[in-house]
Amino acid sequence: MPTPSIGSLELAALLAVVRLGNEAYGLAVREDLAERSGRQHSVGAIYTTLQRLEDKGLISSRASAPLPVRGGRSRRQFRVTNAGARAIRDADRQSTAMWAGIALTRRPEPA
Amino acid sequence: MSAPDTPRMSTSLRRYADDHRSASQTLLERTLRFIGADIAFADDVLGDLVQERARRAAVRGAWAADLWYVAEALRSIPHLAWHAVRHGGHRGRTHVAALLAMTALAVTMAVFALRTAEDVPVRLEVDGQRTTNTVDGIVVHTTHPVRLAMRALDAKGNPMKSSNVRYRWASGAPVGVAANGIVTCAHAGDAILRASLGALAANVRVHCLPVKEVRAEMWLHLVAGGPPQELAFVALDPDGLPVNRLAGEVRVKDSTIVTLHKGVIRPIAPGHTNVSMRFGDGEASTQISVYEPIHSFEDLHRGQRFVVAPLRVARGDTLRWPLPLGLFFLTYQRAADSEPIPSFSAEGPIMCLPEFGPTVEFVSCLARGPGASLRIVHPRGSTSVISGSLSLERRPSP
Repeated sequence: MPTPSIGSLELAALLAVVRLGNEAYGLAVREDLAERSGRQHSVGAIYTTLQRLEDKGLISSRASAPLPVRGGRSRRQFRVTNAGARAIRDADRQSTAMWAGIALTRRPEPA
Repeated sequence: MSAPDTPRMSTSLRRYADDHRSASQTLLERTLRFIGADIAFADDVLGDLVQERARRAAVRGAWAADLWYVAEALRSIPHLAWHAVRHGGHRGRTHVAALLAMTALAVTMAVFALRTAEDVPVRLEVDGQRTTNTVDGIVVHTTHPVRLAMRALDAKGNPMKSSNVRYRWASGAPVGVAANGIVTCAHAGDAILRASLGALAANVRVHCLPVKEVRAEMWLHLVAGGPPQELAFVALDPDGLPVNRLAGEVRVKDSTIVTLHKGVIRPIAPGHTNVSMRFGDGEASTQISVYEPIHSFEDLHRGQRFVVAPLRVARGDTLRWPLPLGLFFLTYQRAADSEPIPSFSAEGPIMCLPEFGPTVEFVSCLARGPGASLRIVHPRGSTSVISGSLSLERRPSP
């Protein structure tokens, strides 16, 4: 099954979900992206992106029980699917292929 | 479904979150429902906003947290609306279109209301930038037709871009005034004119004070850092009588040399400048030279262009002052008008015009070679000590 194409924000969100593990929900993803990219995406933009990833089958989600701290709303937690893991691997391969031959512009690997 | 998450927030934070399901949230939720947004999706977004607001309220205060909440909610609305368009079906799309149309209509009406509000004049006043006005009216010094400059202000005090102010004579001296504000002051006198713009009206006092001529001192010699001096001039009406109430323009050409404040000139640095005066149809200017004080011309060095030295000649005295090369002006200034002038003569390779004489106080000289000097002798027939000052202004080399 071919891996669906993903945009840069989608890839960043997918990686954040992997990094965050059991703590991968909207706000945490947003903070993780802000910390790494310096961009403060709106909560709506983050959820739209996560929804797209879920539509593509790259992540799955489950809702918690209603929480008082969220005004009685549940919290949606995300987890990377097998297809999502493949998409990350493919994106890494594509990136490596694209960077091939222009190694001078890359930072040297730490010893 | 997994087991419920264990909230890591404190009890007080949870209470804050519960208490702050505010009207704005409800309105936001109602709006989202109206546009057909997926409620589960909207709950995810709103839940995050509420949770983060509670955290921020504990760290930065309720005000900052509410501000953040409103900003983030506004930023998220386009995404929620887009989500509703994509997932809300025909009904959702219709509601989004209706909401957008209502928003556009509200913005248009607000802009229109603002523009209309700006166009309502509430006050008429004299335009100070285009008219020589005083506290109690407008002064007109010319006999030529001039346009009165009134401007309309809106409620905020901003001048309106265009106003069609109309004028008419109301009382006082017979001043000619056209409806468009062209005023002709043929004679001296005060008149009241009525300016109106729609229902708005204001009286304007016009002082007709024709000035035909301005007379001022032609030259003024001052010492840098010395005492200030009042600018002397007089404005005359067509009958030759002085006009005491003046509103016009007095301007210093180079304020690094002298400054002018409330009619007083203060010499700042050596050099030459002028002060121009303009009142109605009359104008004049005063040339001002400011000199650097030195003890005598013996002390003169190359960089000094404007210098003045005190001169004191007793009976029987003969002085010789060296003169520089090139072209320069010499001016003698008496300490008192009643004092005689010393006898001057130039010696050496120098030519001066006019030639020195018993009444000549200003000469222009050209020294063609070194060794030129000025011979100063106590005049015959005088017994007293003569005192004054001799100033020298070097012209720049061609």
